[in-house]
Amino acid sequence: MSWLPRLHLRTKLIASIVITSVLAVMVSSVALVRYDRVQEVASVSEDMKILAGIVANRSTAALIFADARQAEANLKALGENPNVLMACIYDSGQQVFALHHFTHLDQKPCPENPKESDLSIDSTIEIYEPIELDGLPVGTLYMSLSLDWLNERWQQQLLFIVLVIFAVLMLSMVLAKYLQLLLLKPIQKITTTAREITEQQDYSLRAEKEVKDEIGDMADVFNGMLSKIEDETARLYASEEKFRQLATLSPVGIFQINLQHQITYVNSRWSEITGIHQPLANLEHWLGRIRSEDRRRTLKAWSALIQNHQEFVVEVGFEKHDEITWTIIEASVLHDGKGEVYGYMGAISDITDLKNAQLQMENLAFYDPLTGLSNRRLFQDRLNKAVAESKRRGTFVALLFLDLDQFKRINDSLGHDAGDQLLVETAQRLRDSVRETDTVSRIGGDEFTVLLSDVDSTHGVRHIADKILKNLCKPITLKKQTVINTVSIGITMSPTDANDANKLMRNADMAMYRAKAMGRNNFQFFSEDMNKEMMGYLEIEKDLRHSIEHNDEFIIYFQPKIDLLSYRFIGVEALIRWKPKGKDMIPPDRFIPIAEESGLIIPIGKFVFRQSLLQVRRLMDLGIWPEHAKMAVNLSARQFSDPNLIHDLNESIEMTGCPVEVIELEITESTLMDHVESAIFTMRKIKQMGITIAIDDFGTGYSSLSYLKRFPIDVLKVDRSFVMDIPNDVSDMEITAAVIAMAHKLNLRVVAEGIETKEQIDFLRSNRCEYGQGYLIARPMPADELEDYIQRPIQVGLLSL
Amino acid sequence: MAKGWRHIWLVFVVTGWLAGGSSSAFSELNTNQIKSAYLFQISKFVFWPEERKQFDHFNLCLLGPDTYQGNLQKMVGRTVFNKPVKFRAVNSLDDAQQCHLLVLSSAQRIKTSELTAWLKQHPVLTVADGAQSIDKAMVVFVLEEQRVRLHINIDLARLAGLSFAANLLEVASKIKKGGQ
Repeated sequence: MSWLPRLHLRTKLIASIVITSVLAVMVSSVALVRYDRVQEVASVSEDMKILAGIVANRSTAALIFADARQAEANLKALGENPNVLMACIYDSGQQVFALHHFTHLDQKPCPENPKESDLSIDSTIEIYEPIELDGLPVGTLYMSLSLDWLNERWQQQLLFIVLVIFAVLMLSMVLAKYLQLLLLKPIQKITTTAREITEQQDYSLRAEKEVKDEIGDMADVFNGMLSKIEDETARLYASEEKFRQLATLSPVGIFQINLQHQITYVNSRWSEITGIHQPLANLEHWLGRIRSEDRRRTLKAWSALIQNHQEFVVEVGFEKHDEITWTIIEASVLHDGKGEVYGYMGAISDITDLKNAQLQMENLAFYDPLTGLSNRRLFQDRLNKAVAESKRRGTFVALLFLDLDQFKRINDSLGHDAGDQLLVETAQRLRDSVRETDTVSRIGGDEFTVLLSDVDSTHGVRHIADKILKNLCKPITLKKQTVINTVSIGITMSPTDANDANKLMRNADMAMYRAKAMGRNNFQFFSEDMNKEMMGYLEIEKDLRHSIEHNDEFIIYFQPKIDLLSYRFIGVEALIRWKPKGKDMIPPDRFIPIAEESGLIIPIGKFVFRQSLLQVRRLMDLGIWPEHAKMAVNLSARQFSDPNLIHDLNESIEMTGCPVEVIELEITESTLMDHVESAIFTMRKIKQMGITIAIDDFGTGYSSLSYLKRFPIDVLKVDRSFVMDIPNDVSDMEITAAVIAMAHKLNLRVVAEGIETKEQIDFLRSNRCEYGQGYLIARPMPADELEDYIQRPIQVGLLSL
Repeated sequence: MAKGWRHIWLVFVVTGWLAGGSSSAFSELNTNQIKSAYLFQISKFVFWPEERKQFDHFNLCLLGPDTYQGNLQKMVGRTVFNKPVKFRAVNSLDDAQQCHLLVLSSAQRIKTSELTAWLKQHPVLTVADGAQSIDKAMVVFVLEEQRVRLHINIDLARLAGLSFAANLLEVASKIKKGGQ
């Protein structure tokens, strides 16, 4: 029966209808035939029984009067029915009295012992009919009836049934065909629609609903399903489109690989990054392009992904025409709806720029971008290594610390471009001056180091230092100007001077400062004296801190200034004196640089400013502070660049209640020239407060006239070094005269410092320098002396000169 | 019950003899016995007018000598159409007016015309022996081929207002009807 499900529905439908019809006809026919047979037999039996009765009755006389012939004649009457085979009459003694055969074939004798009134139906119908006369039995009639006719009738019926079945077959076939059309047509339409959809991929098609029965429902359900599929397809399409857009726009290369390692999908970015454009490249082909250094690692990651489903991220380079494309490949497995792995998906990003930037950053981290020399960091590293190496091998290392002598001036006057050019040239000359194995580094603005490893004596070092000095002082053309730049070199040796990098650096630094102090353009070897000096420096710093905390070891001295024409007192300059407890007085030029360097100058400066104002306030309160006289306080570079400067000044002014008009701040020329623009900004703020500004030590820096014009200053103080040599140095006198003239052009008043002789005053007066200050006029004095000085009849001493 | 058994015995004997057809059987049963048995049977196939059935007895009469050798008397005690048989020997036709069945043992002595006239008045079944008696008897016993056969005169019976069952006519070897 396994073939049954394979049959067409059409065939099944027709077959079921036809078989059912034929079976129904057959069963009913058989039943009818059977019934007919029984009825027929019953009917025939009944008829024959009646006939037998008649014949029996008729044969009474023949039997009674022993007329056998008549009896047989009577029996012949039974032959009216052609199915009667034989008939017998028995007398009352059950002896055969008469008999008759109606057939010539198969003639049987009359049965013995006739039964009384019985009917038996077997292959023949046998009837026993008693013969009675006047209620008394006189004999028996026997008769046997063939059933052949019944069989014939059966055959006829069979023929008829066959005909009927054939007719039913035909009819049911026609009916089935019609029903099949009725039932299958709508189904076939649905099937056709489904097939069209499959072939055309058009989910907008719909099955026609022709009937309202279950098949109609099926069409509805089918159409509903189609709508759902259409929606789903649209959604899927949209999602796919979104993915495609994302993939197309993605800056990342995207790839998909199936279980056979074929690359089934890539976006355009993938092709750009990998340079593979043929569509059916496989994984191995792609991985074969990885540069050999990364290949092993990548293959390992891939096999871990394929075998253990371990996702990975690897950094991989692809070599292409001597260039390396740096990438990051990430990949993971793809699961289908059932959780089965069906492939791998991943992304590749081009990180070449990043990688290059990283390399560049590493370069920047260790090299100076301007000169290409190693920077401080790399230098420190090399120094450490060289020191360690020298310890191990018992050799010497020399560290040269170089500082350009005129870099700041050149930078300020010729611009930063020129400064940079100078640095580059210096670097080149340094490189040219040393061996290939020596390290030249730029460790700061104009600071260089040279590390000479494996040296055997100071002699060799000396030679190299000479060579450097010689090479560096050669003229150089910057912006069409020929400049001569020199360098100061500090030298220290390891392990002689120290055997750790920090100490060596400090030594070299000290030695370099010594070289600067020795007049620049020379080199100095580190010595223990320098170290001691440094130690003194540190001690001073410590004492300064202590004194700031206690505030009682600083003393303010005031040096008066006078009008050089009238010799009138016009103000004082506040000067700090420091006498640490239990120690001698320490001069300002010894501790001020240290305070400046350490930042302690800020609290000290604040203290000086406040104390000076208090003094003015006191003198004003005493009524002895002349009108227009100024209290000048020095403002160091550190203070000047302190962001809290204005706030601190205001605070002190408010606290002391000193009028601002009397205050003058002296700022050195070099302080102002460090950062001109911000200096102008700060000075303007100070000016706005109502404080007068004086430029101190004028002439020592490199002020350009254009800057001077922009500075909101009132007073210019000519440096003592110029005044000092009057009248012996003509050029200094010329410079002083020029400065005074220039100041007057700029509407500035001039103060000359360090006046010690009558000649100097004369010269200054002749050049119309407004004010003077110096030992000749008055030495710096404590506040109580100043009180007397102001009240004294003016310039008695001077007038006497 | 005893009466029933006797009937059966008789029929058994008669039919057994008839079926056997053997001379030995014939010798056992003489002709008179057969004829008297036949008489009894014949009366069952004859239809008398309704008034004769009102009688209390079935009257069996004999006119002439007892040729049946007393066998007729043996019928007394039987019944014909539920009436007990009564035997009477009569001397004349007039004496036989109440008879149902009249055996004419010497038929040649009775004139045909007289009998016919009488029969017209009285529905009496006349039985005689010998084929020549056919004009006077409605049922005639004839010995043919050693067997007792019946000749029947339907005309005479009709004249007397009697009729015969067809069965009886079928076994009659000769029937007189319509003057033939």
